[in-house]
Amino acid sequence: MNANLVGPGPSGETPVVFGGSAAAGRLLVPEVATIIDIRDETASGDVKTFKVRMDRPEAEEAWSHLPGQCAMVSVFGVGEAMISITSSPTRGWPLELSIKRVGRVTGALHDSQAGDKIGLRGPYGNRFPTEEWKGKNLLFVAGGIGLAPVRCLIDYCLAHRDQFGHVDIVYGARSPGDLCFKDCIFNRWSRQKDTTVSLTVDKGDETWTGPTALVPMFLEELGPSPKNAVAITCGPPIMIKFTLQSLAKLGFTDDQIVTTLELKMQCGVGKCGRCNIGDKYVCVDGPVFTLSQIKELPNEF
Amino acid sequence: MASIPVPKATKLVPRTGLGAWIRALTAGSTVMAPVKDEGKSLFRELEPGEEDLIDLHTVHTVNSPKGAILPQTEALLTYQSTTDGEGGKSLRLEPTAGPRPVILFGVRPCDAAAVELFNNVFLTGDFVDDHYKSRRDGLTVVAVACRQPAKACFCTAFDLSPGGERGADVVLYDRSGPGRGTPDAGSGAFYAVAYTDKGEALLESSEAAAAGVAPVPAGEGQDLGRVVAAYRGLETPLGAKLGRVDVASKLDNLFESPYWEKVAARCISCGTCTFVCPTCYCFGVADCGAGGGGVRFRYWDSCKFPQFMLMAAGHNPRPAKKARTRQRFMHKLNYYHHRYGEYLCVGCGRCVESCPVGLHLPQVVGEVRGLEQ
Amino acid sequence: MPRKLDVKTLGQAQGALRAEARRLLTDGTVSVFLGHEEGWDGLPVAFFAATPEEAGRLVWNPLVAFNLAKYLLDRLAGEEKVGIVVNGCGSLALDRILKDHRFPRERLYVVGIPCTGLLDPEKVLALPDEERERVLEGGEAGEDLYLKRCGWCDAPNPVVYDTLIGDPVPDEPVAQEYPRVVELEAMTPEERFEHFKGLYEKCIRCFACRNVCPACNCRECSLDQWEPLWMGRSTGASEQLMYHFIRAFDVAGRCIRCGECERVCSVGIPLMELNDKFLKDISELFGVKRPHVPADIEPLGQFALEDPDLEGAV
Repeated sequence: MNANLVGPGPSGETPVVFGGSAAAGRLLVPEVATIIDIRDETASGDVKTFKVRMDRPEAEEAWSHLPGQCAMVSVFGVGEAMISITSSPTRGWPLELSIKRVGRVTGALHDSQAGDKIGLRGPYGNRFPTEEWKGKNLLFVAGGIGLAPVRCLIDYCLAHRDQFGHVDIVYGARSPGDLCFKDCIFNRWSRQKDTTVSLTVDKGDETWTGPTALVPMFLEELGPSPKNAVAITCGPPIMIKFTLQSLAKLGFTDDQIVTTLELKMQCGVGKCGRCNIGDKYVCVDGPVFTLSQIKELPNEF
Repeated sequence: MASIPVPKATKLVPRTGLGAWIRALTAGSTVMAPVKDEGKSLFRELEPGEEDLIDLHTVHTVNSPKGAILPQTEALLTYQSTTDGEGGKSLRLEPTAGPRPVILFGVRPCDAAAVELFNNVFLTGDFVDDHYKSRRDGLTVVAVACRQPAKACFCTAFDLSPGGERGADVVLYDRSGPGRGTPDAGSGAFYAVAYTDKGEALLESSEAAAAGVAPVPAGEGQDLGRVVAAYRGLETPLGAKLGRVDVASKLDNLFESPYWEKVAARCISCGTCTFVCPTCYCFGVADCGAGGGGVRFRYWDSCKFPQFMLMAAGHNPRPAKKARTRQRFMHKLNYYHHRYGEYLCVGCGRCVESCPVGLHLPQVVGEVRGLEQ
Repeated sequence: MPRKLDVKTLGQAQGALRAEARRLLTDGTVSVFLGHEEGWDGLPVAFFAATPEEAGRLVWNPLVAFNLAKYLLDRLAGEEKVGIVVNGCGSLALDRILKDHRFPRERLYVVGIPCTGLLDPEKVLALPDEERERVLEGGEAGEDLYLKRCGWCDAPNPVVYDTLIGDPVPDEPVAQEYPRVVELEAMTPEERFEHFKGLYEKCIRCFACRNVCPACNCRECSLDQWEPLWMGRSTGASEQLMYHFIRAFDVAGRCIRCGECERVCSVGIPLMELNDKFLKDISELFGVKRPHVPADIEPLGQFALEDPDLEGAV
């Protein structure tokens, strides 16, 4: 008896490959990409920005992402993870991915060096509905690594600066050393027309002369007006929770608040069922949702 | 009730010719069929010479035939990384070769219909899953109508029937019609009805003719129609008890119901229901290799496993049995229905038969009906 | 040895069980009582009675095959006191959990019922209606209808309880035999390897065997871990062997020979073969006559400085 069941493959060290000839497609097969630069974002080194390029020029040419979308990043032998794209499409290649060390794949990425090969597929997911925001004031509220997807969006909006009203960027982190994208927040963005950058940290140090406050309280102190405005917020769950309360206090309606959801993903293309909440798959129907859309979903994130 | 498609071809297959026909099919394809194995009926690849082991009597194989289109472990690609003398790195990715065509022989109409439910997921939307598609394209389904549905059967609760053709290229109807027991192996025959071009080609092939697949005798056309109608009109034991499943919209408002806590209490968080289910399709992706080379594969995963949604940073959106049990039934009876307009269940009854603690879909449907909104 | 089913006594036991559970829930001794109720298809399913009224739904009959003790792990968090009903083998499962220090005895109230044999629910359900009635109401069950474990049962009376319902049944010693192991031992290593490979190839990795097992009670199973990855997620032969060998080794010396792993295996793998091998070895190497019965001192479960095998090892 040596059953070759449907399911468990024939014996052997490697998983089942049914014999045959014609090559299968490439939906779940990434492009080979190279890490060309790695930069520490935080003092502790727990967030790094990876500059990557695809090895095939045609693949780079075929790639086009919009703010909010994500990429599936592979470290072969370890696995694959969905990562938000940090660089604006207006800035072209290399792509930038800012990644916090949390698990196996992100750990392997942090342990890699410039020149290492990774896999890249995507872009996946929906995007921030920037065309609906024309003529409106934009309020960005981000905490810690939550600035990564928002940075892509801010750069994109600033590249199309004339389409929007006032741009307000509120950003905070646990400590001055944990503030990411220092060039953007200290130099580049605040030099733009009609753009303010307000920074805060939970706990300062000897170098810090700015405010020390949690993002939601800081936001309430700043008191941005909800009139003709959209608030885009991204950060750790606890920050989001209180930021949403603060925005409501300031008079922002659920339709005026946009955020991103993050869930475990395996395929990124709406098949594997992992990121299923209600009748939505976060990988294809998200990650960008308005607060009113989120409130229609079962509370499971 | 969906309208019945016009048959593309009808033939008569003598029972005695089944073995020869299947042997002929094996030449160009992998044939998977229900086989009796140590007392259990299992769906598996038929090895040469095993044609006579096919078990067309047992209604349910323990496992469903879904592995033919979504193997429990399926290689997606191979990878090999190398470093040259100067330290330059390279990585080579090779998508896995396409599968050999598969003929599913002797599946029940419920399992054939389940294949169609997979299509909704893997072939629609912005992304077509081409690993799935190449298996689906190479798949031919020869179903066999159920003479006597099992105790746990409830396909009729989903507008399917023991003689239905959904998802099947050919359906075999035992000429003696529905009834108890096994018809005499020596004298019986099947009406073989092709509902698709693929099925027609299968029945019209010279190999089929050589194996004794013959035209339906003149004057027997009416009998054929009567027999097929009898199978289609057959009720299922649990389906009769359950009635037509109609809970999708009711479940819209029951996410927070305390019922889920109660029903989940006896779940032991194994994956039996999801793995024997012909319609559960959730999977994970992982790498397996050493020394810079290996295989990336996908594997069946289960929403009943506590780690299913566990995130790298340690957050688990469904840490409790209540949430996981709710997910399985909400996915089948509500979420999928919203997304694709039908239920993610064909009423095969495997969860009824296999759940170690007697926690299954028909029971939940019945109990949900009784809940206050 | 299959006991003679005693339907009348079982019926009386059910009444007494309901009364006792009702008492415990009424006077607040326990806040929940683990038992069985009649499921959708007539077979008993696990039931968690939380009110005195719900105690009236408890059933006790020859089909209560499922060990309830494992459910205690779901209730580890909290202070509530839990009631539970056990027969002989159910009490072995419970004792396993207690001896492994996985649930505090002081949070338990155990109602024990001596056992006159259990029937295999799957087999009974498959019987024609009239025959099933004869079996369940008349107690006329052929030997093949009993659970496999009844064949080697030497603990029909609960070994742990606070209240015992009914009188203890005659408790004769039963020689523990392992015929399947004898066959295994007669094989060459190559034959054995092929044998196990063939068996486990069928495994669909649903983890029902692990999750039902009272000895598989770790807080986190090593097989679920990703880092380190002890067992890959593919279902290739090496991973299948890894799964089943690890599990057998992990329960070695703690298996209570209830055979639930084998009973719940949907693809029918005879999982007790390996467990029985360990039981037989423990019996022969350490002279333990009842290696499946949890004990305060177990050969593989404790360490002593005066262990004779330590001589010269340190």
